[in-house]
Amino acid sequence: MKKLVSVLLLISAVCGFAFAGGNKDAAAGKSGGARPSWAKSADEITGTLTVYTTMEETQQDILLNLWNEVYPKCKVEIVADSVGTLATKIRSDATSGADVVIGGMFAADGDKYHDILQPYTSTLDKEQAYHDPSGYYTFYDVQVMCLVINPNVLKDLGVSVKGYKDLLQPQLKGKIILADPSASSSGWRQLQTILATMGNKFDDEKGWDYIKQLMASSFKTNSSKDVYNLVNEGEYAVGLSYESTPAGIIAQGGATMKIVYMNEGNTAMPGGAAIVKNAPNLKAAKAMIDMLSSVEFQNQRADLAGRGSNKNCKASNLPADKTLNLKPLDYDYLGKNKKAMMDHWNELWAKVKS
Amino acid sequence: MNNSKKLEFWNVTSFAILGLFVIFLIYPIGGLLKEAVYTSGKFSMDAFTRFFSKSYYYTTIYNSFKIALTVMACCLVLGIPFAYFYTFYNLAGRKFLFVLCLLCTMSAPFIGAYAWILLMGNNGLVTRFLRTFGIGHVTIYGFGGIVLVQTLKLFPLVVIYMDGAFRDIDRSLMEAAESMGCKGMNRFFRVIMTLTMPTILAAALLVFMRSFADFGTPLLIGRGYTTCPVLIYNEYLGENGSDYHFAAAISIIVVIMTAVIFLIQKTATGMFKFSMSAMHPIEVKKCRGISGVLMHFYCYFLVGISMLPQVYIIFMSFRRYNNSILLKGYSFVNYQKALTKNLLRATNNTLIISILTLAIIILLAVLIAYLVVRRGNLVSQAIDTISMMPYIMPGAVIGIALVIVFSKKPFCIAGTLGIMVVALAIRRLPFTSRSATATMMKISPSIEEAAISLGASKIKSFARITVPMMSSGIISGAVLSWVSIITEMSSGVILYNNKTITLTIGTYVEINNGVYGVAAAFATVTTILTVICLLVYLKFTKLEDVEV
Repeated sequence: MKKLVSVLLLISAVCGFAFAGGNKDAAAGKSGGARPSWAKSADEITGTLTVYTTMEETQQDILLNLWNEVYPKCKVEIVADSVGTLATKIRSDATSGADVVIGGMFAADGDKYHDILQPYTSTLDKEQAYHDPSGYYTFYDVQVMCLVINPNVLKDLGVSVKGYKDLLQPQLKGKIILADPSASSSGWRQLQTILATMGNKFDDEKGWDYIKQLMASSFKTNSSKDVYNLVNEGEYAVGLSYESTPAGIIAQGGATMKIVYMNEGNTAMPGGAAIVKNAPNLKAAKAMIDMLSSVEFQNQRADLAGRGSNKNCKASNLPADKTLNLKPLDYDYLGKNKKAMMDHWNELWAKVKS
Repeated sequence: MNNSKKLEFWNVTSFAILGLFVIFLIYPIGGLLKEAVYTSGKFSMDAFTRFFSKSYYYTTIYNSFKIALTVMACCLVLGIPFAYFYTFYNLAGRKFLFVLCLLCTMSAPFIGAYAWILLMGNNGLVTRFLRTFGIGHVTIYGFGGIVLVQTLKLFPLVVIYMDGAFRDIDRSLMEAAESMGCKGMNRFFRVIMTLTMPTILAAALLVFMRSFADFGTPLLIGRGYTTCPVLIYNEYLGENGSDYHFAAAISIIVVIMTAVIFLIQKTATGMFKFSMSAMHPIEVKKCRGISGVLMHFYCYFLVGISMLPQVYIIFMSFRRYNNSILLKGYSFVNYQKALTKNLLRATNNTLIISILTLAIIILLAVLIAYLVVRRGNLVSQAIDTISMMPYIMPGAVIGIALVIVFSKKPFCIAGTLGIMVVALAIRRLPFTSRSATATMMKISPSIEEAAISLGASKIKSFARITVPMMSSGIISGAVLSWVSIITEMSSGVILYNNKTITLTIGTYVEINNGVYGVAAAFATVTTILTVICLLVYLKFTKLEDVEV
């Protein structure tokens, strides 16, 4: 037992040391600047803000850096997962302490998550290009879809990929990874995009026929993060992903993967955040939503890779909208037929794989 | 007068335990059942109809059974010869071998699965190595991979069980067989296997249940090969799921299936009833020559392969990562990042939860053992039967049952450390109470009676005589329970939040978020804690007395 205690003490001492080192680094990298107009006083926003988010690490880093700079007295706790899991956790856990949900909330959701959220309109609403008519969501992102490819693997296979149709090449069988639309929001967005671009009409037989053929070559995962991470690691040649996070990872350097925009076309949808019903730290939650809609936050995202919802947000170095051949989506139709489309997908998957 | 008072103590105890079971076991299972057949206030079997009408759902049962049965067969085929060599021959480094065996089976679930992806995924170390020799198409994903990972993790259970059974064989039976011309392989199959059949069946059941309930491995490397626990999890937590009703119905179906397997095993065991006492213990032979080398190679190779993933994960935890991107070189960056991701809180929670749970199950197990062995009445029998129920319930099922009833009034404990403790106590109780009961049976009541006749009260004789006599058996069982609690995750993953995160769940969360280096750091800390527990355990136990 003595041994155990001393080993534990040693571990925690080493950890404590490492932690202290890490903090110093972070502090050294920042310097003062003009306080943004939307920011409340730092003394006003205190305590802990619990953030439930679908954001990947690089995006979380941007969020945390800006927050800690503006509100140094308020600590942020992050719980990251796909949006369905986050919603279930909030519903089933009265002590979750969740204040805000960031990411995974899309304009076509309808009232799907209204039971766990409360309406709030950002103080910067006038600057926003997109608005949630029901008053719950505040958008900070416009999500565009893409394919992520691993050029090395594709070269070995001797194929090139420019769009959805190229994925049906026989060499790619078993080399494609996609996110399960019934588990991940990006999987659901990819399904929308395929149906919008590959059929003659949205949700028609031709679109589903393509999906059926695609499934035969594909593996599926529950997490959108697997899609780009495993393509980057060379586990798969191509992944069906959303654009901003892999683009950001690529921009930071060291990644093998590349982004390809489907030559058949694309879709865009505003995505955002909302305050949780009975948020324990409502003041900080509001401050967070305001920050998300601000030019400062969205510009930092754009610097790395991201399309903002604020009209004054600078253009990112991502390809301009007009080059993407964007197809319109009917949000009402999506909201009403989501379950049927999901069942269709699941049935088809089981059929193709059995 | 005095006597009736003490009788009351045990009566009160048995009713108190029964009360606890009703609140924390019967009530949640009732809640689960109600959730499965009631929807919007009406009785309805629609969830069951839905399950059996779509191949997407019901094939998961077939998949789960196929995996569990294959893993069971593989574990027996690998584990029985291993145990035979280990018990009957004087292998070099026996103790070391056995500790490694324990370490393999005690490792946190799905950490192994993730390490195998790094080793044998489409771009894994081994895969690339094989590719340079022109061997392609090797993949860890799907059915084969799940079987491989689970087999390597679970075969040591068979070894531990069989080692105990082999040592209970009386030498004279072996000699008798030999004198009648039954030798070698013939003797192994006709005598040794038959004599140990009850243990083989018990080990088979344990492996089957563990494999059937495992959730991490198929989730990580199934890639389209969905099993029941994964389906339950997806239906419960998936974006378009959060369907309590359907998840509850699948849970009920799963429990019925495992109950059937449990009963089949019971019946099969019933056909091999005999008692045997090893008056003449078996002889440990020297192993020499080619067969000796082969035996050593077999055992060490198997354990080596099983340990490989854990060693590789520790190595990866020191690689340099930028979030999910692996860079060149080595650093402590993963540990630094892990600290900002609640590594300390997770370690803390793990220790608090495991120690609390352990205290509770030891107390309950000792009391239950006493009641079952010494007070064989209806209430005791009921307690005994109920305490075995969690054995057939996969962790995901227990997690969902608890969340259904305890996330609303009157018992609103979802999201607290309390619910994690309850879930783990329920999961481990059958194992600890079984071994406590077995220990209790070996203690003759006459010793207690002697104490009582000398004037000690019944409570005093229990506390001062019986409990100390049970302690060695209990401690050995308890420490292994401790390790299992530390590495448990299937019920926790449904119940955790940021405040109640544990090391294993932390690892899962970081893998899920694609921060593999940080996940490796969490896994390494878990492994260190496991090793410490095992060292403590070996201080208290002789290797021969290991029970799982």
